[in-house]
Amino acid sequence: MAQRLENYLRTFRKRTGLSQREVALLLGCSNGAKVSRYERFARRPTLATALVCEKLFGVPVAEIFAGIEDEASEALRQRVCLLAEQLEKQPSNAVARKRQFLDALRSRNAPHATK
Amino acid sequence: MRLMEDNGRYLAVHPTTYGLGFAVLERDLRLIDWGAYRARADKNQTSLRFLERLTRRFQPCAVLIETRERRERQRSVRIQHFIDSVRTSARQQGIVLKGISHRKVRRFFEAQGAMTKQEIALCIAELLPELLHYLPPRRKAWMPEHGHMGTFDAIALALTHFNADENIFHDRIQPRP
Repeated sequence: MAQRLENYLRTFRKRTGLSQREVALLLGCSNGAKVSRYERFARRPTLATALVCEKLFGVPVAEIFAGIEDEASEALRQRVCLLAEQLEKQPSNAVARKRQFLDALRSRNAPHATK
Repeated sequence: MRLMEDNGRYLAVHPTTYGLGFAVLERDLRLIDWGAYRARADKNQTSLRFLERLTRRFQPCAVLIETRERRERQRSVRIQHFIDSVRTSARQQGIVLKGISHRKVRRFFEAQGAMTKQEIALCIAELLPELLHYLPPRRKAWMPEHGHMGTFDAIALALTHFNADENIFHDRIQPRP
């Protein structure tokens, strides 16, 4: 899988023709420096900022912050494996349901191709 | 800095009289970043530093730059030195550098019916509509080249490279009548 950038904020901002200062105003930041830091991957936005970005550019958060999404998906995949291993040690009816859920989760979060 | 991993991301650079035009593209024709860098003092050194910042940020799998074939148009001595220093810097840092000749670019766009730089820029803007705002006005004989033309030249390099690699344009660019 090709490694995606941490975020594509700069790409989407440039497509709209907005400046960093204008995007900062829309995101509720005091000036463009914060937007510049997001674009240089020097700072990660808060959840509220990420959601505003989604509304602003009309693109899902997972697409704007693709690299972070990849990172989170990989971390989740590892934790799912860990939990599945723990569940194997305690077989019961309730565990079978949990395993089913984890299998569905695994197939849902299978690594996807580069966008 | 080792950028040998093939992540499908390319940095195309076109040195110009004022600095350089650049574009970062992914192989699926997704334009990530683009622009024209205007260097003030010591154009080669500052442009090289800017280029290093770009490679650090975008981690491209290769840098595309124009090379000269024999009997091809001459670039200024400063630009020739710049291309040489990019080559040296890339070798030292382990960056894959791919040279594409001006003739190859021209030949590729001629096949699409774009003969002049203006037509090439228009052809690119049709393919990548986000660049429509950056399309320079038609240049008159007494006008200097528009700053954004360097960006289109850089993208033309990348498109020529992608086409040579995978021939992905047959259904994307419609040849002009």
